[in-house]
Amino acid sequence: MNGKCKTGPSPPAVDFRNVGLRYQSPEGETEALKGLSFTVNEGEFLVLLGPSGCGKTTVLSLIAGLIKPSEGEIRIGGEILTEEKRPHIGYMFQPDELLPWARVIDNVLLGCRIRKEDDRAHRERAAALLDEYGLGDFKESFPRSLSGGMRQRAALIRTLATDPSLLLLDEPFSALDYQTRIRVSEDIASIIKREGKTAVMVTHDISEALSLADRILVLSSRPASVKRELHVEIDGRGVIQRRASPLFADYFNLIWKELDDENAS
Amino acid sequence: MKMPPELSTQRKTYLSGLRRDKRRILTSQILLFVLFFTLWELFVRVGWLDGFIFSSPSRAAGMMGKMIADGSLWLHIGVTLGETAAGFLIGTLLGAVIAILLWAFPKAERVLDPYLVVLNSLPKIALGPVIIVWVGSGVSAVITVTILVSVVNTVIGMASGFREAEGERLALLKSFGATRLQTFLYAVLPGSLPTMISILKINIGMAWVGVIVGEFLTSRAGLGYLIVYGGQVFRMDLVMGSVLVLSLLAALMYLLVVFVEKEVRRLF
Repeated sequence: MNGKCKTGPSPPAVDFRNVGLRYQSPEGETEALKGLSFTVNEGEFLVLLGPSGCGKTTVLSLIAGLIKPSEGEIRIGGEILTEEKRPHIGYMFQPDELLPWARVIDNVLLGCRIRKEDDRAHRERAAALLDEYGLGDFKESFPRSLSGGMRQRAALIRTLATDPSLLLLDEPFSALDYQTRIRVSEDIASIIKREGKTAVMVTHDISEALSLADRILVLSSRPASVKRELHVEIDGRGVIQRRASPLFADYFNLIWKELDDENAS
Repeated sequence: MKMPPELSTQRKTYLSGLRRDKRRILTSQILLFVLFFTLWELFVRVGWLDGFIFSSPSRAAGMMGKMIADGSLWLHIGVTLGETAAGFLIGTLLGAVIAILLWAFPKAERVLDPYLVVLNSLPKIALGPVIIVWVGSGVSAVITVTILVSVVNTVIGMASGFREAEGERLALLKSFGATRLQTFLYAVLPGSLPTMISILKINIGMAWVGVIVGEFLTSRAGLGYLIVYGGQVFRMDLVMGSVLVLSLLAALMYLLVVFVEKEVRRLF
């Protein structure tokens, strides 16, 4: 596990206990999750891997407190999640959702402004993050002049600017072309590691999961539950090194079989 | 556009082709304009058209010239422009306020939806006599008609613009814990700016319709008044001249809106 995982008395960053969720709609009831239990450790990069439409995004919405579970209990940093007490999370979406009419710096400060934390310390921090991650010259530019990868980095910095304790990533790279995708995921992963953030990412892409995760949870199709847990122990930190490792293929086949069984059943 | 000194032959041919097309289109446009007015004038002069019924460019221009000389044309233009501006601004603002309220109370929007649809398809001019009875004849009635003509489509257009601008950004804003007001100020309002501009464009046209019809119904001054008065006393020079002035004003106002639109779109 790359020795990233702190074990000790501190409670896990996220703790799902027997969580179930049913969506209601006029057409009927959909059971999205059933008896889902897992934990995310402090400083860990956890990937939830599952087939499309298995309820992965639902898990992130639950952690963010955007929806309530129908059953079970969710603890964030040891405390039970309630509607009044939403955790301070950073959510990164598949479309970068940068506001086209706002300059990059204003986009990055959006979260701080909404949280009424638009003070000098936060502004300096945002500017420092932009400088550090190669967007220093684009602070006053509009998002349309950024490349896809730069936009995605700006979106991550927007998420980091509020200094959240937990990052949620919802297939953040799937809108990018293949090469950009690998480069950007390498970028984003190293930023998250360097900032020491706990992250939960959902994806259906096995290679992406393997190149980023400390630990992977393979989810079953709907209603989603944990089908298999996998500690990814590939030497090398970077996305490219991991992809080059011979172990990568072994892991890939392992997960492929798991998902294939799922489709067959 | 800065160009390097060396251009390939194909590039030169292409660019000169572009310029030639542009020139030809502009020339044709001017020619069409000149042709229309020349033929009109000519047909009246040689007697193929009855100048008493069709007027002619020179007679209409002469009439307008006389009215400019005695200053009365400025009064009528002023009245019409004032009514148009007032009706346009009030109608658009009122519509925007109602649309914001509907966005803030989605349940109310669902309740009111069928009424908005019916009101939208109702020809508002049908309410003309009612308005004259309620607000009295004259300028206030004209402005009220103008407001009515533009307010419902503003409400419907802006409400859907707001919904569109909210769309997927809602999740992002919610993840930061944004309130409804913050969502509106940070995403919905700036995001629906392009919709607003196209509504303004429509409303300018609507306002002209409202004002002229309003002046037809009840007025003592304005270009609509001149047109209706000229028609009643069979002074077609006055009618045609007023219509031409009206076209010119409408074109100028449209150009203004197009300019504003261009400035706003640059941000998106």
